[in-house]
Amino acid sequence: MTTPESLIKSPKVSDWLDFSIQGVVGIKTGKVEFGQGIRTALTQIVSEELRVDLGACQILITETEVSPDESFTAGSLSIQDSGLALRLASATAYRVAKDSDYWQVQLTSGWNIDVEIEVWTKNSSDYTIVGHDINNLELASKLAGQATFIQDQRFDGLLFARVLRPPVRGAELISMPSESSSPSVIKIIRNGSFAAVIACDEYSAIDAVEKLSEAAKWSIPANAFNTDDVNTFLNKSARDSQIVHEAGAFNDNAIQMRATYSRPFISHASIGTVTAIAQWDDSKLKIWSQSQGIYPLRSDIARALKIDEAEISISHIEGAGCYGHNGADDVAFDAVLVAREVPGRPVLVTWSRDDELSWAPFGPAMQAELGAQLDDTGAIIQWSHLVRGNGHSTRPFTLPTPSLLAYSHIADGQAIPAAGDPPMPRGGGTGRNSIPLYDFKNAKVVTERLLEMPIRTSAMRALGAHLNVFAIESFLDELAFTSGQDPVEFRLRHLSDSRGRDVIEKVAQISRWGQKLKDGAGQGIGFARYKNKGAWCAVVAQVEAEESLKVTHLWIAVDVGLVINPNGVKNQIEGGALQSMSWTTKEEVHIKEGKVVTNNWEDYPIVKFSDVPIITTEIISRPKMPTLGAGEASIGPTGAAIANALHAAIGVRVKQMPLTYKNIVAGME
Amino acid sequence: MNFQISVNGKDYSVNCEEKTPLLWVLRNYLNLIGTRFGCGSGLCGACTVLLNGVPIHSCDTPIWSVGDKEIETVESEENPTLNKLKSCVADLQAAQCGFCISGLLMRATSLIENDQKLDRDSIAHGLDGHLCRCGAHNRIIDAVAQAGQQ
Repeated sequence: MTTPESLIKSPKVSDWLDFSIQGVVGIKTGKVEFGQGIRTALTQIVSEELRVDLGACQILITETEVSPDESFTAGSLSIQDSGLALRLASATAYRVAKDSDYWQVQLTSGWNIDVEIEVWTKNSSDYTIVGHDINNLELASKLAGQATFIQDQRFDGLLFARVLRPPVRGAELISMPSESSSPSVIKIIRNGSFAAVIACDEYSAIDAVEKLSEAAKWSIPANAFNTDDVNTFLNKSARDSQIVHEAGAFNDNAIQMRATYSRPFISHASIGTVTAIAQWDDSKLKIWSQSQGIYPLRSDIARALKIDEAEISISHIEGAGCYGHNGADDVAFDAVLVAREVPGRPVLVTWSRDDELSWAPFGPAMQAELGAQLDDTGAIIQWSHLVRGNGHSTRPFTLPTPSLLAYSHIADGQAIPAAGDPPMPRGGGTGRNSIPLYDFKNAKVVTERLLEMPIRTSAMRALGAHLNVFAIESFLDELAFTSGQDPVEFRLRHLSDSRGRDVIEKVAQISRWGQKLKDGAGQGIGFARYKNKGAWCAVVAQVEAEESLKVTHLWIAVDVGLVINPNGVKNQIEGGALQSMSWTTKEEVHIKEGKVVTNNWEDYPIVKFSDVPIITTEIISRPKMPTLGAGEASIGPTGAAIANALHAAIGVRVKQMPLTYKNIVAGME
Repeated sequence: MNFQISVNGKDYSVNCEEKTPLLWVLRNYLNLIGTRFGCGSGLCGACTVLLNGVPIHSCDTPIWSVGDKEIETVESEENPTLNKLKSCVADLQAAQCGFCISGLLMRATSLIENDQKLDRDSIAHGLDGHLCRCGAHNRIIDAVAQAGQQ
């Protein structure tokens, strides 16, 4: 085995396990919790391999001082990377401590020994903890209303702040009051076009920043961005074009059928708004953050402030559910700027709902143009896919200059560079899942990452896979339909990948594919292997469409290899499916002259309880195969399955998301 | 101004501006942080508490309007319906990040106590004012149905 990525920077057993308290195993990880259940799953792995009770294993807070640097918690890689490192570290510890015990070894020789890559690990058939439903370790305290979230921390001397945001993108602050009449307000601060109110309590900060907002004067830029012009923008902006896949003798002139699919900008729309706490003591800076990557965040803050990163320490504390690069890093930098004005005091900054829906990075608007040629037998012999949009990463410390929001507003800051994309071998961004898993002999896939970025975009659950899978699977459906073939059979005849075939066949079976449905109802299928190297997932959606689209049932078959926690996998797969359903059927960010107008829950609706379909999920267990992440696998297939079901129900193929009444009517024309 | 309020059966005295929303009184003055801020305009349900048993949005309920009504929050330990709900949510693992769950528990407590006909549909519609982004909806509906039957 080659050295797993997480072990390259952190090769010692002591980097991962802490035996300093007799009878207790401290688990260290660089991957962080945001509702996906990662801390529970990692604890299961360690408990299993060490043969130590779950209750004696304590997963530690992820902190820059003590935790292994595993960069971002993203891409459905936590179990693959951190889980593998912890399994090998635990297996090494088990081997070494065989004739002693872990805590005795700690006292005598210590655990500063290399994790053995080829160490013997437990056989999956002997597992008693891994593969079983273990309850989420943190849920009980949440149900008791305890201080589990970053918003809930109440450090001694804690102050609260809210930030004043520009009214539109690119606006510059001309003037504002520098004092408040409220006795609870400690300070109003300003740095260029960045301003904030610090108060003794949260409501006073909210109230004061509203008043500040009314009194502040801004210069408003001309020609700001409108989402109504998004198609023009997508087609006119400068771009970085790359051929990411070429197979056989591709011939564009042979293409017979073409179709264009698109999705709008979408929002993270977490239920809690992002929060951070910062405290300066002399030159030392301490931050508590819900960031997905505390190490890269530290590097970006150090670079923005031109200070040594050794002066900064960051501890992770969970925020509300997080599904990609949201405002978590931005609010940490907000807190740093604000706390600098009140040395020695911790300051908690929370974004408003308006901030959250207006200023967090968005999932980029995208367009995909597909083309195909069928032979006389109805087999696909030519395939083309071109996808364009802004890049999917402005994550901290991945761009030439800092990508923290407030850095683009402060006096000596800079605009945030256009989003980049992870390279295709790491799954890509714009191009994620654009390369077909199907056996198309002659094919060409091109990505176009736009170099202008009027609205900041970044990683959101599954990145480009949402649109790319939507496009591929919608187009396959259309090809099957026009050539008189069954959509499931049509996929299978082009797919030799056996685990892919298995999930498709399984979902067809549990959904009773092909059954006769009432008028106005229909079933559709979608399939993908996430990043072409992650989990396999097939979804059948059943919908009813009369005046509006109603998804009534989702059947999901998924293969994530060795399952650590079946209940946790189901939560992730079904949660992903519902989020994808929400994006696909309802969500669209509207921007008018540089202002996000979908800045509240009425204008940016997401799925409601009464919208939610029954979901039936079947996990195909593969105990001998490596574990694959579950968080993003159902996103692409669900969107496509819904659009295909809509077509089956009413004969309308909607190629522009979201599948709202307006876009369905447009699809009829 | 000074206000006397009763939360989960305990009396508190709070000195704050009369327009201060109940949410921030709970979170900042009483350190009852289980009730959460989601939007500040009564559109997401995260801040839901019971006022004399009636679910309200604490984020847009000013402290002056509370009077001597009994406030009940997720921290309450004495409400049998709420306790039943919590154990059903735990059994079914009916939350992911859990940020929305406090408000949902309070709403569901009132749904059950009002003895509505609690089938899947009525529960779903009863919870419609609450948003969940993780997609735990079905399990939450099941947990409420289960608690309602007990």
